[in-house]
Amino acid sequence: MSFASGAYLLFLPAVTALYWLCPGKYRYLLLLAASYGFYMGWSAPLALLLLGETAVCYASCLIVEKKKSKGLFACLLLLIFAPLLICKYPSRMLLGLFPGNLYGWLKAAALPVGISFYTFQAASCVMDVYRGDQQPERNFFRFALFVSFFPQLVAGPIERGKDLLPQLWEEKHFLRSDVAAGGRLLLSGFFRKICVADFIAPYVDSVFSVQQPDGFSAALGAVLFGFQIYNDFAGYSEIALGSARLLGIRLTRNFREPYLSLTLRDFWRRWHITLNGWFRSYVYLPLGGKNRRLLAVSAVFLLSGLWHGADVTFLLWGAVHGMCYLLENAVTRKRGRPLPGWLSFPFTFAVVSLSWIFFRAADLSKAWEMYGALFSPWHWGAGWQQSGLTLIALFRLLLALAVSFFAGRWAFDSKPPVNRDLALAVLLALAIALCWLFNLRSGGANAFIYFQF
Amino acid sequence: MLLLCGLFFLSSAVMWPLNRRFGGARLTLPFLSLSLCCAGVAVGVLTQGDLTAAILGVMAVALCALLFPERSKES
Repeated sequence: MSFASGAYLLFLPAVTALYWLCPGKYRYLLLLAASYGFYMGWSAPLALLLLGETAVCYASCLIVEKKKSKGLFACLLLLIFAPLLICKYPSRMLLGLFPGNLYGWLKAAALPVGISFYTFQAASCVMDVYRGDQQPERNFFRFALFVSFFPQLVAGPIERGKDLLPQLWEEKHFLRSDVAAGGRLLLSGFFRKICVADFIAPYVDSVFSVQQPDGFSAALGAVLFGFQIYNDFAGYSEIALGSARLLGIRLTRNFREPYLSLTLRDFWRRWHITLNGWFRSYVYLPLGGKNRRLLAVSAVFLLSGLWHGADVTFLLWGAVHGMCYLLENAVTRKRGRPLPGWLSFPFTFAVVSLSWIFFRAADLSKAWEMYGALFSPWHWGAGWQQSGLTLIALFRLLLALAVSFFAGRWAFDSKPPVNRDLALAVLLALAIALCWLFNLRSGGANAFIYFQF
Repeated sequence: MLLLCGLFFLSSAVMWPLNRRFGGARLTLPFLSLSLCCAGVAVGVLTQGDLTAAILGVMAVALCALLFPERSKES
């Protein structure tokens, strides 16, 4: 079931109430049952794959603790990543041979929801045990809950065993401050998703579906998609954090206002923090880190692109970021100090926004068409109409972006609640309800973008 | 409708800080925001069921509430 569905609005309070009513030592079993119930809301047979992956990782943790053999460790990693590689890559490439609707149907059926996220999370536990950073979890049910914990099962944040595992079974007490913090995060997350991302989606769709796009509309589409995917994914992450916080569990923050970054390096420290942390720990540092920067950075960005899918557009998106990151790094090192903000901020924003075209385009030819329009001065005509964006819609979008920005800060504010919080909660809830009604009238809600990964 | 939204936005943008400056009120803030919300919804309904005005109104008030924070009880 999706976070943005009515079913989840019933599921979450019910699980939260049962969780706090349940005796402490059985709570993790309740959460495990709820997590599998949550996942089976998408597909019951695919829950077996999740269970199989859990069993393999659990056994691997116990094996690598006793036997530190590189060959065995490599074989176990191959076994752990095999379902992801089989489901996500070759099958998608083969499915490309099927026509139209059949391709879409088979693609949806062949890619288990959240497989990239839970595989990475479970694998991190095995690698940490192998490196001696963590003791293996010996209780299978607790480990299964770590892999399948419902708030972050489908699209992260990708947690590390040493951060999440102890929280899942330690003694917890019901705190009103946790409920208030969870509520704030949920409201901010739903606002981002329903009032910003879902509102932008039709305009982005119209720009990316135009046959001969205008340069202006291509630029607008790239910028708008940047804000759409940010608010969609950051919204999802905040809902995940808020849901977990209601249960007294603190997940890792996944976004820290990435669009305020002055450099690309800074951007990647603020965007999808848990995935980048994963790549840093298990790819960048083992490949040599700063000592072999070219190799390590290239590998991280290419893998990051491939992680999103087998399409060449994702690979190019990663490659563009990798090259610009290395270029920025080389210039900074040669100067001996960072570039001034007036120069580095536009550069970062331009690279991030323009590279989204690769990410969003349906295929490579569409991406080239968009870039062609963007960099051809004679294609900059009356492109405003192609996006369908009216003046009032632009005003609403800017207002929603401003509210989401400050609401995000409010959600992560750790100060004690004041009376304003109640008023804000009512206001945001009302805005979400009105936007939800508005979206319903204009064609319904969109699924979270990162569910497809 | 654009005029209505603009007026609504401006009035709420002015009223909120004024209330903060002169009232410093704790309890009036929720009531003020709720009444402004109702006004926003009413404007939306009056404009032939178009929700845009109501959404703009509610968001404008929310933005004002976020920009002009109330002092915490402890401070």
